[in-house]
Amino acid sequence: MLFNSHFFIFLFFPLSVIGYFTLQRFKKPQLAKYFLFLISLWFYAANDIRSLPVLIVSILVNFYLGKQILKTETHKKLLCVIGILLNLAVLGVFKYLNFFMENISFVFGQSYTPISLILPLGISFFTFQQISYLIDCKNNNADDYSISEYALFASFFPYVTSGPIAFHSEIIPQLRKEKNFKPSAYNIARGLTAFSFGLFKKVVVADTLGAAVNAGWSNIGLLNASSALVVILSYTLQLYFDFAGYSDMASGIALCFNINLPINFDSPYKARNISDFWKRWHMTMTRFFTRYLYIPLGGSRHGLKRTCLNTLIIFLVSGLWHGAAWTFIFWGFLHGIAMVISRLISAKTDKHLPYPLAWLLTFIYVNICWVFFRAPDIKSAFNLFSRLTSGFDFIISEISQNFLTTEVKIFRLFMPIDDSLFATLACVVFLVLACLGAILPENMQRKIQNFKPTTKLCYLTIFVLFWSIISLSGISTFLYFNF
Amino acid sequence: MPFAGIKAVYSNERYQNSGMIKHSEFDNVIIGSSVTSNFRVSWFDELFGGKTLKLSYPGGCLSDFDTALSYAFEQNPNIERVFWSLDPKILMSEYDAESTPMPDYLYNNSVLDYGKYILNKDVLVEMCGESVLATIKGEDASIDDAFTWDSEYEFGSSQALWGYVRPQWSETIISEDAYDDIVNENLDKIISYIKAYPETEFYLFTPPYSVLYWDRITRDGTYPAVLKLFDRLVTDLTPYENVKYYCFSPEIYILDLNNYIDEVHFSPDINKKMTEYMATYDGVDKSAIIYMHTFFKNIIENFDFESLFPKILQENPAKHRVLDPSY
Repeated sequence: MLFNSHFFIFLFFPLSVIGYFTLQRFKKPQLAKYFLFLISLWFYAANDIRSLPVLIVSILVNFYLGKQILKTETHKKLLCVIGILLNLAVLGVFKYLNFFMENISFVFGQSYTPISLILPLGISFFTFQQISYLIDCKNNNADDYSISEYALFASFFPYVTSGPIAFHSEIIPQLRKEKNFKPSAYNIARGLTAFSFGLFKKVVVADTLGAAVNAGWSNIGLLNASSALVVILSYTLQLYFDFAGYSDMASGIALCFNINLPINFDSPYKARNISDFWKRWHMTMTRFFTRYLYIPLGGSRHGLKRTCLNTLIIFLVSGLWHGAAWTFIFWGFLHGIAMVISRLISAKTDKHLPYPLAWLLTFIYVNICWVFFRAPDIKSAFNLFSRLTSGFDFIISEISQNFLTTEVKIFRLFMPIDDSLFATLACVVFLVLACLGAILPENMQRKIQNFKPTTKLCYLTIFVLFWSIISLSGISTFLYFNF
Repeated sequence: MPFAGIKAVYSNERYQNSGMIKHSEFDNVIIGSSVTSNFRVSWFDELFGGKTLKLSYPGGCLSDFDTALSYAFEQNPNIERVFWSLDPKILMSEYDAESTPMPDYLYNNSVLDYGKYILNKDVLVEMCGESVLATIKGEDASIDDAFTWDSEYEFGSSQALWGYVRPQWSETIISEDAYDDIVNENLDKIISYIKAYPETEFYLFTPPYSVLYWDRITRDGTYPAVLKLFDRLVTDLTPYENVKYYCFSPEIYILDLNNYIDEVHFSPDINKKMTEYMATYDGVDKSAIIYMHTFFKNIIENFDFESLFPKILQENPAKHRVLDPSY
């Protein structure tokens, strides 16, 4: 089930909020948590029911291990290591087995037939959340939770499939607070605002950009330089609006249950350098890696060389976490190298580039890195870059026609110009607006923290929600035929 | 149908076909990709009798046709004739290949899905807007011209060549069996209709792609699989008593690019010829295979494809249409 579906918006979401608070009203907090847990399992199973046992077993095993780690005084470390290895083994089998086997077979000159395995949705997210719980148990930083609390924390539907990676210490205390047992109009207003703008980012902005990106990658051989640039920039923006939109929706939904989720995006494309970018992009993942990998590796405590090595390790692991492919590892490597260079420069000089230049260089570099993130293989990424030398011309129709959305077609009535010129114009205007939208306004997640309900904002939210909903079931039709 | 007083506009067949299946009376159905769009239902009504409903899906794949046809049979199990365009490109693509998105939710009778149609900006803004504009302008849309595109394009050799990306010569010839799994799945789906509705006559036909298509498959090495597909269409489909199969590919007009706007899309004159042919003659049988083979092999082996491309186009191809050989 997706947040951006009619079923979720009109049925699942309202029913889950009503059901939860009805049970709380009848003084059944335990039952309310079980209800929300079951609802979360339904949400999860609706994507692929075959993944459900993996989630349930993972929750039960980690809960049991956590209890044992808390109880024992002598075997805390051993149990914690066993728990981490078990979690990594599950992740390894489902997500990385084929990748590793293919590469090992390649090294030994053997052929390998991939094993057909399901990839449980969100496995990287719920596995990391639970690893953090086990480590905190070992360090005596976790309370003795009930199964209903823990199960709900690990499976809570707003974040179970796509994050943010929340810690038990952030979620469970909020589930326990009696103040949170009653619905809060203020939080619901905040939640619906975040949800509506997140939905808009996803459905109206990211999906339009996504269609253009797919068309570009399917027609690499046809791209001229301007079209290749559009594909690269569109993907950079698509990824942000898609992921940040989803995070906004997740935060908004959780707020309706009086649960504050950690901020995941803080206008990353405003960043002035790569280090700044990673303080703003997928912040909960960066936080996890910093806390549970970078610092245990020694962090920056053992000299510059070791710090650089640790940084590089973190980013290679981060790349692999994003997907089992060399493209992701290379993407991580590029970011890691940039972080190392940035650190080396800061160690030598205190001088900074002027903000506009620093911002531009960072933005260009991030764009280049995303090409590897999207590419089916590294060669294709270089193929796309090679199109940048093929001369500037009109953006090819296969890409530009994706920007002829219903909204744009209204303007078409008043602009009697050539179809391809109009489509190119639509593409350029859309990208400029999307860039400005990513860079200029205050970040939604920050805005929600300092939320002040006003009539103007209410009307705007209603309009944005309505427009997003009527954009859900639309289909794109094209000017040109393709079989 | 719009509210009384508001003019109907035929602008998006994927949405509107479902409404026409649901609300109109029909005896015959035309179904297929954009090559069926320019058929006029009046030709069929006149030549075959009964009322004909055209269900064309530009950019469609077999699953789109399956969705629409199963819904049409659900609404009218006694359809007399189905005229089904079997595009080689579609039959050699996955059953549910990436295609223009289809609002599948409209092709059922569930009231729950109405919301997705009504709460939809394509409908609320675009289609309603078009209807209101047509009403203001006093434009009347004819059902006979519904979803046709022939008036929007110029047919001719230069137009046809403009959009054609000529593939590089393939180093290997693709095995004739390479597409067997895909073709099997697609043919099984078509045959399932033939078997399920023995009282319905199925007029199955292969549309006449231009000679540019033959240039493409000759160069990219897929022609053995295409030839095998043509054989199979005859051998697998014609044994059924309620099937008439027409292969319009071995026709002399495919050699004249003036009949086309691109590699596959032909002029409405050809649509009309096809309709008249189907009304006059029976379909092919196995004896036609030899003729088809001779015709196709003659094109592949002896046709001077280079003569299609003016020298100036070979020397100065449009920049954005050059296919880099490395891809």
